[in-house]
Amino acid sequence: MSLAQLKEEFVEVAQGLLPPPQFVLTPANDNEGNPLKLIEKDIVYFNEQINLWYASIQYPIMQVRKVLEVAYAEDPEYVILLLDELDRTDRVVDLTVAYAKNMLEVPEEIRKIFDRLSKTNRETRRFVHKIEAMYKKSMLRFYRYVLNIKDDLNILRWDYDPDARSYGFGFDNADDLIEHLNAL
Amino acid sequence: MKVFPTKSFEKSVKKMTKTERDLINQALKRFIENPRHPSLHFEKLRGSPYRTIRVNSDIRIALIGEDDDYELIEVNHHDVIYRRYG
Repeated sequence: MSLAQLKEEFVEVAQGLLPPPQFVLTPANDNEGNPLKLIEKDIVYFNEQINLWYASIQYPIMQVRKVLEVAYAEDPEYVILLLDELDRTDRVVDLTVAYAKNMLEVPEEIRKIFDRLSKTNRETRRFVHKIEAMYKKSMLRFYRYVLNIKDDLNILRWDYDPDARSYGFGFDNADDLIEHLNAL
Repeated sequence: MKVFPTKSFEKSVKKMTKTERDLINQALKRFIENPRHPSLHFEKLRGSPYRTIRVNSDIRIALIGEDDDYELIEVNHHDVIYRRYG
């Protein structure tokens, strides 16, 4: 399988993923201007929607995993090239890689590839860090936001805006962050 | 402290002037190094999951997160940030 075919297959799978559910709670106030409160059935509804979404992306994620495994079996270098190439394509693909890592047990050989990649050049390290960060943060973060509603019932309008979600690429070094922002 | 820029944040940064961007960089540098720096006025918005930090008298950055991880949501004028996230 050529790199182009692998990439095509990967992107096709990634684009088949459904976006997370969108939640918009309105109105924020009742007719007299008093804040409305979320009730238990709203929370149950959120959880149901998230679980449905979660279930709906399981199969595509398995396909993603298969693509990676097939690629690795044929030629590990292809996987490295593939991931490198995907890094420059579409955010949805980054998310898919992250979801694949997040939700399924990562095969040891894939784990090794990521470890190897992380020892190479700076750009690749950043990509690996991005995936790692997504792996650790993305779903947990999303769930946490939803669960936070339970603790903060005064939040009456909560838009889940995909744009307001990080790439999962974090900075704990101010100089790196500034370099990133200056490059925009 | 670790910050995660979002697409919306990056879009909003691009709309700022060079001088404002320098101030944003300065505020974020302080935030990463010491979020409790008094000039940042790091605070949670009432009744909202968002927090803000002060860039200058007019500009604020909206963030969301907890512990040592924050997503940078948007930088904008004080009034806009408080209207959207407060």
